[in-house]
Amino acid sequence: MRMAIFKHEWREAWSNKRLIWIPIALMLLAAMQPVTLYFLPDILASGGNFPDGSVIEIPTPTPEEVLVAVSEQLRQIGLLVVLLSAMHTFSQERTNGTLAWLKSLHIPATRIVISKWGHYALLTLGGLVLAQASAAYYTMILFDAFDVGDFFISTLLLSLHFVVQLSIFFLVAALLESGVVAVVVTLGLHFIMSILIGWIDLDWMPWRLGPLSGEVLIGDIEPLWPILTSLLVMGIALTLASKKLQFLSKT
Amino acid sequence: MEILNDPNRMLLILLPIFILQLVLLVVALIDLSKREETNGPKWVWLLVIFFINILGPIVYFLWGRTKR
Repeated sequence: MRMAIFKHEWREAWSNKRLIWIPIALMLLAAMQPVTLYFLPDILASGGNFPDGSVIEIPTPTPEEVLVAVSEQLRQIGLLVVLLSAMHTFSQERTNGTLAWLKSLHIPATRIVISKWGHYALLTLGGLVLAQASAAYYTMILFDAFDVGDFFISTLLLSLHFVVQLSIFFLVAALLESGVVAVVVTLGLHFIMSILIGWIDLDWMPWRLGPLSGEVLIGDIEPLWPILTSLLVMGIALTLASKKLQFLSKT
Repeated sequence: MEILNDPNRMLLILLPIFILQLVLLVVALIDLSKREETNGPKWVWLLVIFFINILGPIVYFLWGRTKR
């Protein structure tokens, strides 16, 4: 009974096809980066209007640089895809009365929030692991071998980064009427914080995890504080979302 | 680009991407065929899914389906 909503989410994800399309979309996104970087000189040569005989020299990126590019790609477009797919999570169930119905059954809000969040977190995690695997495959065959340990840590940091952003999104979605606005708020905050962190020394912020997932491939990092604050933000976001979940649509 | 002249390695590069794209396309088409109503005309979505690589099916999954 406790797991009923969680299980229902997976059944719905299957009939909704998001169980299939989200991982595939992330995998393609990750695979495209090494492939484009590899063929970039050819693409430029055939597409650009260079005079005959001009020599284009682009230094071949190292495998680590390619994987950093993959991490950036996933953090920008991948996060957008994941959040957009989760967009209707609370707003739709509020409009069609599902949330009110669940409340009338005396199902605690915490269970509703955790079930849905857990489903999306696991789905994202699975998708990211597959995406990183496809990026690793292409980096291996097109470029060179790389440090598997660093890559593993990079994947972990990236996954945590996604789960934290999902938690923030779930909090905003629980409070606001519109799912679209919730996505915009989450991504806007993500964007602003990413810029701020570049300007001022805010290395302990949760939003630092994303960049760290790239930097770990190239050098040494200090991830302790960002990880701790991330877990804290995650906990606060989920607790608040459970407490403040709006069951009824205002309109 | 010595790889371009080696058909085996070319296959190694293109085949996985091709298969992933195909699965995405087929799943989107199955979903479209089962759905009675879409967000906008159905034939437009058919064209979008079929002719816009990768992005077409993703856009359909995100916006093409009516809320149930």
